[in-house]
Amino acid sequence: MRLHEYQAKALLQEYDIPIPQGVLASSPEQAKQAYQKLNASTCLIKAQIHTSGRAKVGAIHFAKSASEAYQLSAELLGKRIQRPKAKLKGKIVSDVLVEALVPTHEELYLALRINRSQERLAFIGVRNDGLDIEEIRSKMNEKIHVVPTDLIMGLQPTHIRHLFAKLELDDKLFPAFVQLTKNLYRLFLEKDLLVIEINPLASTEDQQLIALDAKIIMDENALFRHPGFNDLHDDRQRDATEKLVSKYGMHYVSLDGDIACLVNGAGLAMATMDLIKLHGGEPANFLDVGSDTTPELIADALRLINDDHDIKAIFVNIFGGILSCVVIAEGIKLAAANLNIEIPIIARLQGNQSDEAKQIIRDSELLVILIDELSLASQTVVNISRGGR
Amino acid sequence: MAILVDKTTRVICQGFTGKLATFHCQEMINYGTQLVGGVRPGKGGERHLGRPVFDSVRTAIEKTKATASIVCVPPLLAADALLEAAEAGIKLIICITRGIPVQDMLQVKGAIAHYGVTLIGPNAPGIISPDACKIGIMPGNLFRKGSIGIVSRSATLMYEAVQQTTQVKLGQSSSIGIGGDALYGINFIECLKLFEADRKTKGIIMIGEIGGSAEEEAAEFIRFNIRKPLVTYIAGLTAPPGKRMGHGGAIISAGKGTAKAKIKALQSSGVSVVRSPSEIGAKMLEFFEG
Repeated sequence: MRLHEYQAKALLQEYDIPIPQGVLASSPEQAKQAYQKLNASTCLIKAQIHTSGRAKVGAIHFAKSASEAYQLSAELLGKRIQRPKAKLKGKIVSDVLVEALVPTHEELYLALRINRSQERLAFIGVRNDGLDIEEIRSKMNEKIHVVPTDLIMGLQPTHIRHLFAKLELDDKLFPAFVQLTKNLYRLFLEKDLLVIEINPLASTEDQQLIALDAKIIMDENALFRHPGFNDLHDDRQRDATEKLVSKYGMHYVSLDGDIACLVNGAGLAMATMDLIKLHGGEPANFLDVGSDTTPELIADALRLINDDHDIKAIFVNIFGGILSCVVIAEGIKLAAANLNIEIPIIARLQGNQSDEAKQIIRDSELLVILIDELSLASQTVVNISRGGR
Repeated sequence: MAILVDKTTRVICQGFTGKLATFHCQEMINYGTQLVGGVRPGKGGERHLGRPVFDSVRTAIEKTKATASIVCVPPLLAADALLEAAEAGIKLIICITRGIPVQDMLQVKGAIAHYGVTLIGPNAPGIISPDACKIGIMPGNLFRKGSIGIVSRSATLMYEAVQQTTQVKLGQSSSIGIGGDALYGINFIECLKLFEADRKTKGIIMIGEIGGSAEEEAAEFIRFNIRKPLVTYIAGLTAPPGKRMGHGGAIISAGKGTAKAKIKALQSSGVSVVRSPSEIGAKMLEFFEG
């Protein structure tokens, strides 16, 4: 679960990590008042959206007067902001963070995250000197300093000294750096985080370190330990269909193609998308219905996919393990009875009770094409999506 | 012989009396697995599915001499159950539970390292040696005793590989689903090692997906250590970055963990990577007919 910058910064503040003074605004009027309240000659107006590289997509602006703060936030609020190459709809701006500009000296990238292959926690520090972190990742790996630790060892002074030395920071910053890393580590563990990324972390003239931007990802599976955190989840940042389908206990991700997929199992759902692409088509979504579903939920999912943008064909690809194919067949029947599904459905029903399920489809006289072989089914759905039969 | 489990494996279930556990334990008994009892704190002394229920893993081991445990407890209790099993002396733990917090697994993995225990999962379908022992939630009727070892992060893709190897009459020696989470127990390399050493296994199928670097690490290992025929498939070529694709571990993060990089690593180790999961069985058969 990703947090907004302002939510992440509130957590940092709770753990005594310095952040710039800022006020959240959801209207231009509030932004103007925020500017006046902050009493700084220059303020940043930062769109609160779950998109990285906001500066490059016009989501961050500088205001030098209250009226500028008003005008710039009026332009941002309600707007959808899209990444340059993305085809999907951009994220909507519901709030802006108005923040006093802090005069800084040097800037760096500092993160704390779980390193999967080492199964440890790791601090990652980079002196990025104004360079984009993605660029450094792809071209200058030697600039990235990783200092791992683990839960049993804990964060020790040696880790902090090591990272500090690698970053070649001014010695005068050491006390601030020690405090900062200790606080970050405590925050990470106490709040069940997966990622804290501070980019940039800046040094000031008075030897302080201040988090100018922050990205935090929480472990959704640990929310039962942090009941208050449910409110931090901003559903507006998600695609409408993603929101609805996730309520059914299914996993759904919107893509920008025209072939809808309804699959059980995350692996097969990914493989189904890959197969569509391999045969020259474009998948519209990733959907793993899970093993604990019902005909009603399947019908609802089909309706949502049907309502969504321009779908040309539906590919139902099921390998029943625990899940019975009969549940899927009944779901297709139910969907067809309740709505006017005119989109062709290609169904591959394998595994648990597949013969019974196929019989249900045949008896229903629905226009569902049943194909057992995976490649043939994928090829057929792609052909149909391109207008062939 | 197959790997990790056979006819003699004595199994208990933690969270024995739960609805899903009850269903799958009955299936395991029907398959012929030696399920010798179960654990449910507070229900010790009762009987369930004709087997004794114990309050703790420790007592269960004392009374039944179990060496394996299938863990079917809810996510918030799972870490405790895994640690209890390891500490009590269980040597093989299969964890079905989905949704365990990542930091809990970080702690579990650190702690169990000292106990000489093999953990399969979490969020895994389990392990089966056909006609001998099934510990998990996979449909037993798909499997045929044979010569192919299968290891997969995804359960459904494992079933695809099982069905195809059954259809081409190669069958399976053992089949392991290692689970879809970011942090998990037994990995590709350990399974490959076991299959390579197992005399009944003549060929190996490995099915990976986006996220993490387990496939890349396996590719490096395979180069010098695997001599048996090996067919691999990697799911998620079309997965968008930064989105979790169903599995907790299936995410391309900061440009790392793409299917493309994994396929490249495997190919540069000379491993055959099929482009469609429907080609797995036929590709494996080529090794035996060629």
